[in-house]
Amino acid sequence: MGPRYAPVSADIPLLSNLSVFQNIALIRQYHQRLTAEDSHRDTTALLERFDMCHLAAKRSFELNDRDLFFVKLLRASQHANAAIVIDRPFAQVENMHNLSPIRKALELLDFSGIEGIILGYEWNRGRYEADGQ
Amino acid sequence: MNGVSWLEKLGGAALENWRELRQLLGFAYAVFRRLFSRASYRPLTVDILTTQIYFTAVQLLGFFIVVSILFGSLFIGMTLFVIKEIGLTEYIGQFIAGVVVLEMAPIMTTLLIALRSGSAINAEMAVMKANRELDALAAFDIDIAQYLFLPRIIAVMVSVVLLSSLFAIIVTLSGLLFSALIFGMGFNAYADIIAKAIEYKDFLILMVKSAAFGFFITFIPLYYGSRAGYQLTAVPVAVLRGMVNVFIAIVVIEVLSLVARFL
Repeated sequence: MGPRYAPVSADIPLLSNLSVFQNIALIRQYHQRLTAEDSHRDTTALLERFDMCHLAAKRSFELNDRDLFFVKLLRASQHANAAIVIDRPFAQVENMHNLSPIRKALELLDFSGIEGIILGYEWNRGRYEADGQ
Repeated sequence: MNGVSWLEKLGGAALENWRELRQLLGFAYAVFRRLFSRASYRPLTVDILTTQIYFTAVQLLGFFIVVSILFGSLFIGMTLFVIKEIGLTEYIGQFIAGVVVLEMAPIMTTLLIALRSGSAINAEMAVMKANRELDALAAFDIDIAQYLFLPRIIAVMVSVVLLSSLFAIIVTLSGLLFSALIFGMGFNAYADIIAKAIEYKDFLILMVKSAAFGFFITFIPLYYGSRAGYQLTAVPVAVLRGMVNVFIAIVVIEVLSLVARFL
């Protein structure tokens, strides 16, 4: 089996007939065959860690671009042993000026040993390096 | 020249239909294989299955019972009246078993569920395709046949079997009322006629036929919905193609079941 990727991309939407909570829970419910109770406990803990519980019942069309991006990131983090591929983050979140919110989110996820890849354009180099890292 | 052009068109259409049929059969095989694989079933499947049965059968139940009582009573009342007029009273049992239980119950149930749930499933899949949500599932290594198709197909199969049986029971009970009104027949006499006319084989045929209807009125919308284009304008086209083919499938299954019964 080849390398696995968990994309965070404008081209890979959330499922519109599921809530934010269900979109995040789905990945582990499917791959790890979790029951609804186990998945509910884990997903609630994840949303609490990111202070995003208020978004749990919302659908994708109710989210602003920043919330949508971080929900996609949380969904991607649920794909076990997969590299998270963030596709053009500045195109997905308009008023994000550097990568520090994403770095903070990745630190909060604390998924050691899993690769994260960010794809972007050369002309955005300044924004990628804006926080000096 | 015109003859060649006509032949070319005919051959092209035949090849196109053959390709379409092969893809449909390949898709049916893939779904069927997963239907009988234990690996396809996970706690999530049971949750979706329960939700789908609720949407398909439970939400429809009130309306379905009203339609069964109204349509069934009207149909059985009129027919029993005609049977009396032409002096075929001794065939009441065969009529109720052969026409109402084996033919009318599954076809009425199938039509109602195809119009309500089949079209909804078709549109849902086509919209998911246009929104790239099916691609999103694939990107996360989620098998759409296991996650989306299987629970819907099983839910509709179970719903058609249960609602067909309910329809048959309601109409048979209507028959009791009308046979009392038209023929002055008591409960015991009616029950005796029905018991003699209906065999275990009839229940088996009802179950198998209803399950076959359930499979195709879900499978075909799933197939055409998931093969729609990425533009939103492809959604109505996919629903149209899916529902026309659902109608054809219903007619084909009905004809095949009639042929099987009388062979």
